[in-house]
Amino acid sequence: MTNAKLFIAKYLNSTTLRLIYILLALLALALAGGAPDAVSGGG
Amino acid sequence: MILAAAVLSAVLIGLVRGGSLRRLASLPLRWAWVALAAFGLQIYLIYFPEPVNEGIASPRVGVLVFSYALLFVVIWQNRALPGVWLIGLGVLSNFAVMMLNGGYMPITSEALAQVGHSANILSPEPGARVRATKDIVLPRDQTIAWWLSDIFVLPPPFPIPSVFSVGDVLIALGAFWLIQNGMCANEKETRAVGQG
Repeated sequence: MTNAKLFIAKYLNSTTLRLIYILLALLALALAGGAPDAVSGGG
Repeated sequence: MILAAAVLSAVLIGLVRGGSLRRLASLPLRWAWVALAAFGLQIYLIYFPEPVNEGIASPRVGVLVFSYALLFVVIWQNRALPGVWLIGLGVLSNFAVMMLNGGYMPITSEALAQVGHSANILSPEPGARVRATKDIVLPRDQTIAWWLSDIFVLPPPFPIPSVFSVGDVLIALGAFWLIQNGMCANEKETRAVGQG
């Protein structure tokens, strides 16, 4: 429990969450706008 | 997959160039949640496709059009950021060829065979959907604006065999530019552009 709290305090700060949000948004923009023959898996 | 790989490799190249993830986190991307919503809307169409395209007036194509409308809002909101205009051009290119061909991205069965994805074709009829894509199978001579459709083939032994369009290339280049700028450019510069 203490380890979990330490992990959250160390890594899940606002900058990390904002980075995850930005990366997911950029991925979503590329995947939703793009149209290759496989969106995920297999190609 | 190829576009996800492009985005992730842009981040890795940014790190190799000495760029910062902290700086990328401060990228002033406006209305980013709308891009997530647009992709969320497309998940059903991509992973639960009808066997054959039901036509431009079908509810599924309506959802696809709405998701692209959301993307154009995000692109317009972020037009001042470097690379976003290139992403916009790519999205517009894909959207145009999809609308000209019944609502989905045309691809030939030959191109799918070249990358070993023929088993994903859901019907032998023309206009068949392709599993896990926004594609429909159309012969080249029945495709309007063929040059904007999925024409570039990266066959095996390329690790991610793929067929993609001019629009996909523009989106990958724009995302690369945006990420490199977000990770490596002066932070004040990026913020100023975002507020401009």
